[in-house]
Amino acid sequence: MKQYVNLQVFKTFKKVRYYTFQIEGHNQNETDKFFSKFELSEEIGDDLYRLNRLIITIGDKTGAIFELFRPEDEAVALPPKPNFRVRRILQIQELEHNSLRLYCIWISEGIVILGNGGIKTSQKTEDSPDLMPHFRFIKSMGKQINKLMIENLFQFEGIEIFDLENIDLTI
Amino acid sequence: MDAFDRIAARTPDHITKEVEKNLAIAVRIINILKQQGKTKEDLARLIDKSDSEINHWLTGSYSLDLKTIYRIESVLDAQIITVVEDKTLSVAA
Repeated sequence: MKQYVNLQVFKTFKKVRYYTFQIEGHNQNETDKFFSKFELSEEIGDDLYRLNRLIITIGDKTGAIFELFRPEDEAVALPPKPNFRVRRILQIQELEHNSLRLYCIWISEGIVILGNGGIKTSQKTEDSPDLMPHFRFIKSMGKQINKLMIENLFQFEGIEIFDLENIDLTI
Repeated sequence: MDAFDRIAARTPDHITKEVEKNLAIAVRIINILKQQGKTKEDLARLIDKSDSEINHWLTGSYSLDLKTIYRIESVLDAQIITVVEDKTLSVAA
């Protein structure tokens, strides 16, 4: 059965407005689920603080400069518009400690849509059970948003996505 | 207050400084590359690192060591970081 997914504002900073996904019938949006899940986790330690501060600093100081977002290899295989990529945010601490992933869709230097994420426990995303559902979800959302953009049904300017209520996404 | 805001409120000051400075360094390098018409791949070749390593560094969530920063300053012939001048040292000298 199809479920509707709404885009909603997650946080607004001086230079970037972050959006997120709200799945119909769920109590929390996808990004709130992510931060709630790890908020009290000892396993992640300071990396959660680092990710949180990275989002705030990008939002308040640097803007969402394209180069700051590392591409998720499989996701960039989408047939996007030149300025549209599904990307994952963050590289926390050193590589060997860097296991936390939060997926997002980079729209512009003023707009990023955050999803959910998890802990990467393997070289390949598909072998990380904590990550794969969130990767599939963001990839599906990315494809749908990409299609809407091509059809001119997803419009944005500055830090604002217009007509959020008319953006129809489903899972 | 949601989980994001609660985490932000209790983030230790040294982590805030670490993230902000790492990000500032990454943005500075990105801007120098853009100004010089160079790519991240060019930088990788100049300092003999892999493209993926440079990509990783320039996300701003990696703490580059000082030797690496000096190396990048040297190959790009540009200043990335400055140190606050200690006037008491100047007087002593």
